[in-house]
Amino acid sequence: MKKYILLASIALSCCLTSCENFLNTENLTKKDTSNFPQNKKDLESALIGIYSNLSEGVGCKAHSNFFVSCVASDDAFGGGGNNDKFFHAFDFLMSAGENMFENFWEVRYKGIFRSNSLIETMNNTQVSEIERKNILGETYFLRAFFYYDLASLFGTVPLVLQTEPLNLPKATPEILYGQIASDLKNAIEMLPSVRYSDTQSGHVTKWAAEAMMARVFLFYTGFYNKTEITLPDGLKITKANVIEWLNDCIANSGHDLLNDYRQIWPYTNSITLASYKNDNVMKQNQLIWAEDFGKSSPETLFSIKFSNQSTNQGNTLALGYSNQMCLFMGLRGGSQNKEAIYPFGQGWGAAPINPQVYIDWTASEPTDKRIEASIINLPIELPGYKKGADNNVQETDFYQKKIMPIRAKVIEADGKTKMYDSFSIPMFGNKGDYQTCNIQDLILIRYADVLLMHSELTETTDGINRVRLRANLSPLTAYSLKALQDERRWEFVGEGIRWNDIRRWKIAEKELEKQTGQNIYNFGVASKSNSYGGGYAKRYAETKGFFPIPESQIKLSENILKQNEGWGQEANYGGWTK
Amino acid sequence: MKNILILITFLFIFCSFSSAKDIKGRVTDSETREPIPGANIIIKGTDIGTVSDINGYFTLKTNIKANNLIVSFLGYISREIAIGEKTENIEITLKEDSKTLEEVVVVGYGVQKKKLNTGSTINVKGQDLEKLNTVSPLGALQSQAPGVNITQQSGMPGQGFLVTIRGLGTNGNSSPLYVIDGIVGGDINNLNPSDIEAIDVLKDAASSAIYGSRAANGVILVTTKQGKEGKIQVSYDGYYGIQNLYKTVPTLNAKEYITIQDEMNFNDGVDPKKWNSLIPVLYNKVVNENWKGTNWIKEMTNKNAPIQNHALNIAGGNQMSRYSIGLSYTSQDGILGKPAIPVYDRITVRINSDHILYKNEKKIDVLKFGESINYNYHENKGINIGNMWANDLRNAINASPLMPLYDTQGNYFDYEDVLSSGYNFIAENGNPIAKMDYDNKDKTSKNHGLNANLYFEIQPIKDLILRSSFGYRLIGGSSRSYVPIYQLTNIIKNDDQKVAQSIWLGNSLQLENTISYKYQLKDHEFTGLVGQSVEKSNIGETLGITNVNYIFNDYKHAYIDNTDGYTAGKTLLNGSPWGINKLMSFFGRIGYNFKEKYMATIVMRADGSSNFAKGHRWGYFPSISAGWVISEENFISKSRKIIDFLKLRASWGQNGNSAVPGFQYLATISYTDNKAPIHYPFGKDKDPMIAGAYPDILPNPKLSWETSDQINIGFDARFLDSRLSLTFDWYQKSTKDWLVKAPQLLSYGTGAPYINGGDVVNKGVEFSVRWNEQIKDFNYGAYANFSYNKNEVLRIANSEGVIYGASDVLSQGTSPVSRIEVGKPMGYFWGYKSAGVFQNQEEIAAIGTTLQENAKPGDLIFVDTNNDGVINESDKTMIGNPHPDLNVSFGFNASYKGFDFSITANGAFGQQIMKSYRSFSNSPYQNYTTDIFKRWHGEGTSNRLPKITNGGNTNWKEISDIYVEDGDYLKIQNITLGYDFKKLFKNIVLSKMRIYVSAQNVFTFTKYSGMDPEIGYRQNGMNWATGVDLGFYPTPRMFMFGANISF
Repeated sequence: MKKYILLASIALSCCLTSCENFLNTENLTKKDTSNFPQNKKDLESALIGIYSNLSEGVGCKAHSNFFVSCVASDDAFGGGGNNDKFFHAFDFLMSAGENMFENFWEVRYKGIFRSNSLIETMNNTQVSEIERKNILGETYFLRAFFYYDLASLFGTVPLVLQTEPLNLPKATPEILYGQIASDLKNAIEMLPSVRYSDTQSGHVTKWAAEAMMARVFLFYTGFYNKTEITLPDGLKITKANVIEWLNDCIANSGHDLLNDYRQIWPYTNSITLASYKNDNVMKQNQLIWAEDFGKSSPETLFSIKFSNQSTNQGNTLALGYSNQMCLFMGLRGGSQNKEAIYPFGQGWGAAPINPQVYIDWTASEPTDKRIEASIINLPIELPGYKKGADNNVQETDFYQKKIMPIRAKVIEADGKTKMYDSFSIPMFGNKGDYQTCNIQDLILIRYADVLLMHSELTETTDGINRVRLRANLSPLTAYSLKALQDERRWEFVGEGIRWNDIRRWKIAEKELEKQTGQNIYNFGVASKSNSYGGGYAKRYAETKGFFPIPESQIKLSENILKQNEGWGQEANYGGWTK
Repeated sequence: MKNILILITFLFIFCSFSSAKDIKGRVTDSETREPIPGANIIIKGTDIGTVSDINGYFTLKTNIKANNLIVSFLGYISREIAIGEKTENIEITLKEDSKTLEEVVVVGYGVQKKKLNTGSTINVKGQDLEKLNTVSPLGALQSQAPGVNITQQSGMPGQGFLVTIRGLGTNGNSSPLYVIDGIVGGDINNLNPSDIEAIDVLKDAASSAIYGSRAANGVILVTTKQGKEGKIQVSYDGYYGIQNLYKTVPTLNAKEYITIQDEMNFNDGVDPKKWNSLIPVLYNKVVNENWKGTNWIKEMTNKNAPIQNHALNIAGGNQMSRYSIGLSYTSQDGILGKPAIPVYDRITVRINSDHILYKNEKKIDVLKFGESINYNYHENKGINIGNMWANDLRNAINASPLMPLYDTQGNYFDYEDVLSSGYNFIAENGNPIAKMDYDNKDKTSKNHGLNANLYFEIQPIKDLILRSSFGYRLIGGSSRSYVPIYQLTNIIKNDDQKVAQSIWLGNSLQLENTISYKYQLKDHEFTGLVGQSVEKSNIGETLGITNVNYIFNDYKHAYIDNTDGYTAGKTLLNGSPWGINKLMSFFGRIGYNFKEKYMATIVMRADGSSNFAKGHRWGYFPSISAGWVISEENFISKSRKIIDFLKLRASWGQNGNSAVPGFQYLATISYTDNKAPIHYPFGKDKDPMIAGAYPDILPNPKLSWETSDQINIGFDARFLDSRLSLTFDWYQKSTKDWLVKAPQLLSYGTGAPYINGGDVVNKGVEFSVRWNEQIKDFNYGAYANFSYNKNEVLRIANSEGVIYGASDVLSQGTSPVSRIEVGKPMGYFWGYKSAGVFQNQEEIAAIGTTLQENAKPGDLIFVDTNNDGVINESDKTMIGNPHPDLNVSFGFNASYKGFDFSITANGAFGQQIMKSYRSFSNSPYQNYTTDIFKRWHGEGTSNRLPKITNGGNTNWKEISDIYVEDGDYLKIQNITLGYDFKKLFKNIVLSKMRIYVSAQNVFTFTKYSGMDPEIGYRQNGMNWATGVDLGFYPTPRMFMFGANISF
């Protein structure tokens, strides 16, 4: 017996020593942060991981800052169907669910986490200093972009700058914008001075960072009544700095205005244009879209790119590989006669243009070529369009035509003409359905913006007059803020720029209130626009245009996060009622 | 040699002097009077003996004068018979050993006398399972095992079962641990019930602690049939049956559908649909009721679907070697899914044997070895039975009745027909049967499984046994599919002929060494076991390819070789390892008993798992249990006439759960996000190839076991000459430190790792009562099992105290229906309570318009559960519980001469079912069941269902109790009537020739309106989110005819 016990204990002790080694396993399918990123290829992957957050943000559709900016401003109403309560809620500055922005909040913090992770692990890699700077510069820009999206939508949010999880309170605007400006400054300093045409489109450039800095500076100083931004290291960004960067951009970027405003927008693409019956002018003058067949446009400083890989299966990222803003703002109703609304395609009918924009514009600048280039006047341009399709509410006579599904007709081999839901199908070999086939870039910063921001900061007419010239308008003799404000309103109508403009100019309450009593159609029946929660001005005064942060996050933070002002029970929008 | 010679000589001398005669007689069963072949007959006090022949006769050649014979046979009580002077026609009857407490039960790494068992276990004999004629052994176990909740995952052939022992103890994998012939982790569904000798279920922690880290959800031990000493026994069992759908859900016909659609548009204030232009060809037929529309469920119903099973078993052996061989074939067709009929075909082969290599002079089996090998092969074809997006039955339920199944040429009505016939009413699903057929008809998977176990035993001194066993499990298979080009709507289409092939192969290894010893010191008996095991599982690979550009157009040629080239975005390739798990364990057990009156067992196990980081790998799982056989005490043995046996048991123990994905302690890098590939299209590239990457979880190096802690108190008793037996158990099972993927702040920016972060307690009682009596030739018995369980979550490691189930379960855009929340049962249904329907404006005024601002008559009255004057998310509450409070099963059997009859039933009470067949929120044109006739359509018409509106309306879109129904049911599971023709034809060589008829799933008593209240739904990746009926494939009703023949 003793013998066995002895044997057993020897066996046991042998086993125990080798146990830990036996239990070690290696992950054969995934790398981890101990062996990633190691080389340039890994860094590219990590960077793409951050860029793809732009796509995922578009996949958040109605709940993205871009969409909210479009419908919350006085450019447009909510629109869509009577069940699209988020469209209406954003227009009325109301809440349609305590966690309505959870998805977008999550997506933007994913981008921030990935940026933080790359910044932290960057030094483990063996790449040249130039490559390192390029990648870091783009990363800093994107982190700043993500935070600016969050800051625009929510005001203040937790400032997370490391991958280690910390339950942080919301940062003050000073801290938050200080960090955004610091990241942009890093991007400007790290990215090379290479003309836009020598870089691959979609990548962040020094010029985009300079323009973004001006946008951030204008919003922060205007909205928060500041004169400068204080960086975390105590240095300050002044108006003079920003003007200097814009001067650099104007002088060295190679970016320029396109000759014709219509060339910015995909309805002038070469495939559609051949069959675009309403526009002989464009056809005669060969006004081809600047991004035809994937070309880089000199006017685009920064845009979100889309691909053929989009699928509609409940995955925010995969959906965001196509331009969901086009789908959302497309003309409503599967039963619309496709010929009658050609070349514009089917969508959910969000963001119908506020008739007041058309009234004001035609009154003040009747010769402006941009009016017809920007806005579909439905009764005139598309008389066959049916109102009230699929319970359409807050519908107006006007839609923007910039961010739109654009169909195309192609004469097939058998001689028959085939209509496609998007020109991208014949142009880029896209195989998506009408919900995923819109893959034109979503332009976020245009050169016209650079010129107008320059005018605004310098209080000069150079930039503004270049923009007016292209629009067939006479030059201004002297700079005025009113003229600048109008010019920005016309130039960027429907592009989501107006929202932060009216907020920083402190004219939001007044301008938003004008949305009440406009001619709209509900279920196809002519009506007057109404408001909720006490009116647009009241809701703006209560919220300052900031939307509620997700309640789920407040609960999870154990109330370290605080809800924004103006978002109590009284802000609930129950849904459309007749 | 010399010794033998001497012996023979002695015998010769002895014989020649003897005057005794040969003894002749017959051994029969005392009850059935059937002959017992192979019985041992020995003259008492000698080695002289013989064995009875096939008809029970024996002739004992002897020279000595025999006074007493000892007659024995396995499974019968041995008898000593005084024969006196009689040497001819000695009739000996043996009584079957019904003293079940003398039986042994399997306890893990060994067996134990049932009488000495101090834990809570169930032992079910293979023959009791086999006679219920189910395809999977678990189907038969349903009515046999109190405390084990078994629910079919689906009624489609080849689908498994959800098994929960003593309530849901975790949010993760809640399946018990299966151990088949000592090998951990096999699939019990791949065994034929005829292969099973016994199933032992270890319910309490003290019993299962010997399996330590994986036993938190209980252990199911399966022993396949072992060889028997004696003559070769061959038996055949087979049946053939037909299956039918016994309850359907009535959907609206074409005219009713139009009426309801019009009413919806009216309520929404939308112009009525112009049906005569939407369905120009069919409109008049519908209005004149010449055509009722398509009844899609009826069209997909497969009438009289066949089922058959054939099993052959051969067993035999001698004192040194025993063997058992089994072969079986099972085939079952599905009752729904025509023309893509689901099929399950299974073949099993089993070879078990054990051999004594060396027996020493003291008759100790010094060296022994044996093996058990189970091989199974099954072929599967099925339709989609998943969630609301991939569920062919649901598609059929909610497809528009206005669409014909076929066009005028007899082909499927597809998009071309839609366009050409002016059919301007495209129901979202398109033609559901065409879709089902195209997607599933040509899709088969073939699966191979092998379980092999080889052991050696050395017994150097009596009762000291060293055992070494090696287990090997192999899983392999392949699948192949072909999908043709089709287009059913503008969205539902398949643009390319797709061919897919995949193949997988892997194995698991297990090595165990144990030493056991039994030691008796006067009345004190000690048993001890120490052991060690190492396991390496999931060693395998999967490879799959999907491609287009197929050069044929049929299934026969659908191999990747017949497809051309690589097409970006369409050619899909995947190949991956399975992810090895390693486990190393040490365990020991000490048992003690005093005169079989007082007994105790102590178990300890230590497990180290590769799933955790160094320093958190080892878990220790102790248990202790004790028993007291009161009936052995003097004060009670006087009343023995009434109480035959009474044992009290109590136990406490801990075990664990380590079922968690590996590498949670590392910040792993992922190239996909929620399965979507990550990329970004710079420049002109619309088909980008470079993959993006990011760290997909925050690492948690501290992750470790989930622990379950259980107390069990119970008794076993037998009364009235053992005719009545009772078993009772009370338990409390607390599971701590769940492996939870708890919600974390989204600002952390990436996936949450698993943490140890939740507790749940299950409390319950189990009671089973059994009666058996024999009155001359009439035998009968009955049993009833009851188990009651209450489940309550005690802790969730986040401030909200909640884990949410998936959203979009009932319909796109709806909030989660299942939640885990502190103070509630796991996975309870979460939504608004309704208090009827507003009948008129006065009622709305009375409730107060502040609550439901825009309420109109016909709207649902939501209850302000927190009395804060507003209806919002925080009014959502518990509107149902998917777990039954009470599970019951009953059985009755009787036999008279050759006839036998049995009936079994099982049921569950107290649970609710959440039901929705329509994607109501975003697909208003989907069809309804006739339930909708009970809607509100004017004052006083309904106080439960609101008026019909487009689903975006809060009435329907918000999850409320209008989707919840009670799911109580009692199913008559099996009725069998048989007759053994051996009774009629006594002279045939067969020892048994039983023919029977049997009906399964005969009747269900329930108020539930769906097809089947036994809902095996489980949300993908969330085992705890159950009880939702989205169009559940029901269990068929079967009638079968079968035979058991043995010789």
